[in-house]
Amino acid sequence: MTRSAPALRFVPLLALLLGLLSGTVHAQQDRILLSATNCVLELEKGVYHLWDHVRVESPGVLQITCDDLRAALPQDKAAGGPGPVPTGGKLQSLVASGNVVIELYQAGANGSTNVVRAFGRQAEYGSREEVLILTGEPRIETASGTMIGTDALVYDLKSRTMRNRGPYRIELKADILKGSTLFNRGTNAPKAR
Amino acid sequence: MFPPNRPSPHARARQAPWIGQILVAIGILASGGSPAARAQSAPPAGRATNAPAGATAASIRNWGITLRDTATGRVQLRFSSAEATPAASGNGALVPALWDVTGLRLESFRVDESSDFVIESPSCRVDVTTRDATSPGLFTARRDADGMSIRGHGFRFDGTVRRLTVTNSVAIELRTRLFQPKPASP
Repeated sequence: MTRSAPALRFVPLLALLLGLLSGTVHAQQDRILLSATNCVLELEKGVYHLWDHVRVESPGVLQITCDDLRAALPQDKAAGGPGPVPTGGKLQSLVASGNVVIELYQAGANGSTNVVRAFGRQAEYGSREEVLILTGEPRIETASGTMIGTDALVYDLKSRTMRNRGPYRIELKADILKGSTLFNRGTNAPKAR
Repeated sequence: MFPPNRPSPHARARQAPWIGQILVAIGILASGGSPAARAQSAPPAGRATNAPAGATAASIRNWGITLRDTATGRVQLRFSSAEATPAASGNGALVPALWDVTGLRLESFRVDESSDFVIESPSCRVDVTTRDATSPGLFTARRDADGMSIRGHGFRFDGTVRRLTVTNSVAIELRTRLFQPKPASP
């Protein structure tokens, strides 16, 4: 028997632990937590309306706070089926309105987390396009700057890209130019003696 | 408007068993006056508590009422509880359709009579005629099919349209995701 045998015994254990950890992460991502002071839930139709201190959390993915939220988690009437059944838990749409603040969490390099914050009077999510459409003085803040729209800002959740409807402006933070060679090029000016 | 957390001492007092059977019958009748409507409900056995003579209402242990669709006869809702007491109206008279219920379990069924969701509340008032349940207190609800769970304070459940209204605070957990997160880039 070689000396490496005891160490090898831990390999399956490590794999098991990693598997459990991975499962926990997936379980976290597969949860959406909604909270509010008031709500009306149409349980058969799958239409939820929440208002007053509304918070939506998708752990590790995003958090939304707003005054009013309408969500649709429709029930499929399967052809030939006995009746309405949940659509595999798929959230179809979400409309947040009133003082909307969205925080999107992105896994960055070296285990860090980047946060993108979006502000507006209304935010709509549609499961078909997987985009967040922000209207009402929309503004998106990232680590490098702020994008301010006049009509709507559209954030693609799949590609993590932003686009706009109507005019917009971008305000970049000066920090992003640190270390840049953009303003540190050689010139033809005579060297100081 | 809302029921007390516990039945009154009068209600919990001793009562002859046959009175409990009458009250169960009242519960059946409360779900509808016609013979067809009476056939809708099939309550589990209720057992009256012992109460002294002169008590206005008896508590029924293991109370339950099943409500069926009038057209198809399929089970729609089932109310069951550890204990229930007929509620009194403003002038003190008992209202057969109203029950103050301790330990409510309200189960809603799909068209195929499979269980859809369950609402549980330590204390609430049930109106069998309108198929409503209300409480200012704590409640939980869950649907196993999609893993949805709800916890809150102050609710009204309208059994006719299956609408749950929460007035004090609510927390809902959905077993779903908004989108597939993009893996971290190096």
